[in-house]
Amino acid sequence: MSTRSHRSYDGIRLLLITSFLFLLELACQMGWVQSQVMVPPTLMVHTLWKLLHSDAMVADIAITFSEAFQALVIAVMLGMVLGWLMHRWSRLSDVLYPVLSSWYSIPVFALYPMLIAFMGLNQRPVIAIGVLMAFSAMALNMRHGLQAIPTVLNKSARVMGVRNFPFLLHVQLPAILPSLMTGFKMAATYAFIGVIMAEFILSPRGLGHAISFAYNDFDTRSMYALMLLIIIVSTSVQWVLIQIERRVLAHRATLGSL
Amino acid sequence: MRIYADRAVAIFLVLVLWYQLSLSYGTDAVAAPAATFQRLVMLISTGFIGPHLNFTLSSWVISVLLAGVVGMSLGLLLGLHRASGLVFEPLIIAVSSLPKVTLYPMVLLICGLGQSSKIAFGFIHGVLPIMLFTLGAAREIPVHYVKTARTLGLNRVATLRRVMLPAMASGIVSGMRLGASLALLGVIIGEMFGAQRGLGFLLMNAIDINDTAQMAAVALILIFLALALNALVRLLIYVFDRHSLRSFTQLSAS
Repeated sequence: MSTRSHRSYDGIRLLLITSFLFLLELACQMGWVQSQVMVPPTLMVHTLWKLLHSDAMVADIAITFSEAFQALVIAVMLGMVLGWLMHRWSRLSDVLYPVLSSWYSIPVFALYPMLIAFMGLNQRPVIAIGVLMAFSAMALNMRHGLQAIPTVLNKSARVMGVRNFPFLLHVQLPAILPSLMTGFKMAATYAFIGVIMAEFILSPRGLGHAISFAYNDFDTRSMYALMLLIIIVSTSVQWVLIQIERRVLAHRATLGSL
Repeated sequence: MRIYADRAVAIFLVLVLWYQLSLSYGTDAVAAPAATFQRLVMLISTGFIGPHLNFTLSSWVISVLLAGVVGMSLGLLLGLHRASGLVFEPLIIAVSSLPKVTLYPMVLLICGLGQSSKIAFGFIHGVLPIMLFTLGAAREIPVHYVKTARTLGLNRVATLRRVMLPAMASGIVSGMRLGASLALLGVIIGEMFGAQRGLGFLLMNAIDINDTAQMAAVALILIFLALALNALVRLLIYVFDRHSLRSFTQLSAS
C-alpha cells in the first residue's frame, strides 16, 4: 500500500516540476523576464546539448568529477579513521567532538587562498577543500555508529569468543553500516559542493570555473545551461546514493556470512 | 579540568603546525601566527574593520531573520499537511544538496550588485535547512499530544502555541543553528564577488594582492564568528531548556 501512495506522490511531483518549467518557458518566451536575466528552459537544454559536444567542456566535466571523487575517497578514509580513534580514546573525542560538530559553520573556503599558496594553482587545493568540507560528516557518523552499538552485541561476541577481524566483520561492520551510509551520503554531497565552490572562486579548470567564466563573459545562455547540468548531476548523484544505501542495508543481515 | 588542558594542548599544537608551515613555505604563502595577530589587532584598533564587519553582520542578521520566518512557516505548513510534505520534501532535499555558489550569478542578475544580493544569497543558503528541520519536527509531533489537546478543548491557535511549537522546539533550534551558519557562509561568498565592502570582500581583496597576513586575519575573524554563533545557540538552548523545564514542573504541580 505504501509503495502505491509513494508512486502517486512521484506523479504529483513530476506534474509540479513540469508545470514550473512550463511557466518559466512561458514567462521567458512572452518577454515577462528579460533575456539577460533568465533563459527559457528549452534554450538551456539546447545550449547544454551544444556545449556537451565541445571537447573543452567534456574535459572540464571530467576534471570536476575526478576531483570530487578523489576528495570523497580521502574524506571517507580520513573520517573513518578519525571516528574510530575518537571512539577508542575519549580524551581525543572530548577535544575534537565540539570542533567537528560545529565544523560546517567554519567557513573552510577562507583557507583556500593559503592552500593555493602552498599547494600551487592546480587540482590539489580544490581536492583539499572538498576533503575539508566532507570529512567531518564521515567522522561524526563513524563515531556515532560505533558508540551506538548495543553493549549486548559486544558482550555476546566476547562470550562466543569472536575477536579481532571476525568481530570487526561480523559484529561491528553490520552494526555501524546505517551510520556509515548516512555519513557517506553527506560526505559525497559536501565533497561535490566544496569542489564546485573552490573551482568557482579561483581555479583555471572545471565546471565551477566554466560557470564563473560564462558569467564574467555575459554569456547568460551557457551559464544557465551549466547550472542545469549541475542540477541534473547532483540530483542523479543523490538518487544513486539513495539506491546504493537501500541495497546495502537490505543485505546487511547476510553481510557477515559471505 | 583535564579537558581544558587537553584543549590547550590541541590549540598549542595547531599554532606550532601553523608556525612550521609559515617557516617552511615562507610568509608569501602562509603568514606567521604572530604577524597575523598583529594584523588583526591593527585592523581592529584603526577601526578599518568596522564598516566591513558592520556590512557583513547586518546582511547576515537580515538574511537569518528572513530565512527563519519563511523557513519556519513553510516548514510548519508542509509538516502539518502530510501529503504536501511528502511531495515537497525530496524536492527541498535535492535543492539543498546543490552547490549553491553556481546560482550566485543568477542572484546577481536579479538583485543587482548591492547589499540585497548578499542578503538574498544568505537567505537561499539558510532557508532550506530551516524548512527541512521544521518540517521534520512538525511531522514527528506525537499524535496523542494533538489528540489530548483537542480533548482538553484547546482551540487551534492554543494547540499550536501551547502544544505543537514546544514539541517542535528542539528541531527548530537545530534548523536555525544550521541555517544561521549556512547563511553566514552565503553572505561571505556573496561578498567575495561584486562587492565593495564586507569580510568576504576583504578576503577576496587580500587574495588579489596576495596579502597573506590579511587573509589569515579575516579567516580568524570568520572562525571566531562561527564559534560565537555556536556559543550563542548553546546558551539559548540552555536558557530555553531551563525555562521549559520550569513551566513543565509548574504544570504538573498545579
